[in-house]
Amino acid sequence: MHWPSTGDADWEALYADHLPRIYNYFRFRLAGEADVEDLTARTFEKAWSARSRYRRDLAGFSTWLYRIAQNVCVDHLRSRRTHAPLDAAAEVAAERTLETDEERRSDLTRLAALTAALPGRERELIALRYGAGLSNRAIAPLVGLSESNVGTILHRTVQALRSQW
Amino acid sequence: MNDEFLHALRRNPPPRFATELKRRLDRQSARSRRLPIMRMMAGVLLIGGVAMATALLFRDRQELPSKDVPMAQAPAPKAAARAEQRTSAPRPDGRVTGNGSVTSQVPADEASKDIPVALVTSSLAQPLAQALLERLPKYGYFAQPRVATMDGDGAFDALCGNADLVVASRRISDAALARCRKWGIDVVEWKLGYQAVVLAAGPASDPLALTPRDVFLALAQRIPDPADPAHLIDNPNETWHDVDARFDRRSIEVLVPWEGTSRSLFLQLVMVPGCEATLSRGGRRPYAYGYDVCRQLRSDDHSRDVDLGNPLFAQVASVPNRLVVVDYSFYAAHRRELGGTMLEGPAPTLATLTDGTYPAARPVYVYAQKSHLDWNPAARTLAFELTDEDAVGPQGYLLRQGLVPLEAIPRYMQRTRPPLPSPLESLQP
Repeated sequence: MHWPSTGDADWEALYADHLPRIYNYFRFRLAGEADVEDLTARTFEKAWSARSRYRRDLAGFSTWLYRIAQNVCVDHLRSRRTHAPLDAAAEVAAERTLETDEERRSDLTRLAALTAALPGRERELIALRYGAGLSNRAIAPLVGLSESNVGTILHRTVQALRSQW
Repeated sequence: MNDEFLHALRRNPPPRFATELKRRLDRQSARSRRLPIMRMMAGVLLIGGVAMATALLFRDRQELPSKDVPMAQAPAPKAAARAEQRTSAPRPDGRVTGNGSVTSQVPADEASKDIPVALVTSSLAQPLAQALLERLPKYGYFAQPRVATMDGDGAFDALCGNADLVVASRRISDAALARCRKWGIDVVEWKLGYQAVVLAAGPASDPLALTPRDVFLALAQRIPDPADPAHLIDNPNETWHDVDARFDRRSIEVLVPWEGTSRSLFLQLVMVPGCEATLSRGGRRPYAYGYDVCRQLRSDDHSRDVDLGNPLFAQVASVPNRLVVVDYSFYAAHRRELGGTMLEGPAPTLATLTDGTYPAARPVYVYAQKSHLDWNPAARTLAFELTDEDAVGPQGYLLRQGLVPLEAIPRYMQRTRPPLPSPLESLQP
């Protein structure tokens, strides 16, 4: 099986290369929620069904694919935003104080707690850099910033996270 | 950068998941290979069905004369009824549209009504967007819309991002459209009409041909010092002759609505261009002189904030050469009581608004991400509202917000095209 618009590129190779990246992007972005596998699958299915619209002259394949992942993520965050009754808030708070030992050990949970206070842009940058493993140059068009801006923001964010780790 | 702790958080996806997903994609691939065959079969069935329907129709027609049924009482062909139905945009509530035909109901998933519509509007079009959103509750419960006001390219950047709909006071640029298409986003476009403002006078006034720069120099609170243009001074101009020697010595006296769309339009379409033409000289940007320097009107007798009501005509007629700022709809409705426009260039008419030659006018466009219209019922409801005569017709509620409707023919064509327009391929007409 070949990815038609990517010329001679082997779909198997692309799939093998990008699956862990997309998977980790969602893990970092959503802090290890159970939906990560579902969203990863949705991203690849969308990309596969829209492959005829991909144009090599407009964007690199990975840029195109991560843009789809970003849209899937935004749609997910939007649909997840429910209006829970006030009584539920107390229950949620109680659950959080009774974290299991396993959760306490989970580094990803720690990261989620640290990044919760960060703006969405910084969380997105962390997910793209350390989850998807993209370079600053590849991240820049995805977030609408310059490469040097991406580098600066990431540096500050990582320093802040590091100090609290 | 000491970021090993972040790198260490990466994990490989579970092998079971990777294998299962691969299998699903392979199946999807096989399905897509079968699709042409299924399409061909569907085509054959469709053609066969049409042929059978035609044969039945001919048989009915041949039978009618033999039963002596007058042609006037013969049942109307169903095809005509279908054509009639196609000319109406379907509405979310399935009610009767402008031309009287009942249309199909758009399925609105109750659960997905909790998704708020994200609407971005330019500041000029903000009243129009607000009026559109206020109609939403009439079609049932929808989550509270999220509205953002952005000017410049920001609104179109949002269109390529997460915005469902964008209401803009200009057409999308080629670059912004290409950016959206680059990300695989299909953009659809509606033209709502125009926004325009008129600087008019009483019928007995002598004509003037003012440029936006003249108006700025006459009405701004602070203008450049003629002796030292790098510094601003309180506006000393008393007569139009002080503004420019080509005018006579009549006193500057302009009535400006103290709030509302007309005032916003006047500031944006006349004062700001005049300010930029005046202050951009010498490589400086106008806002280097201070925030709001372009929009602050003087507060003396030369520029008076008024409440435009019935006494308006008396106020204008009582003092010769007194000018007044009104929106185009008001001007068009009271053309006889008011004199012509005092702005340089062609007179404001629907034709000059349409061809863009009247300077103080802007078109109003609405853009949407096509895919968002598929899954967001609130966005889809708004999209249908955009072609409704109740909204954009000659008596539409958007006219109260300063919208000038399109001419009848383009409005009719917009209304009778398919319910949702095709994605924009380019900006070529």
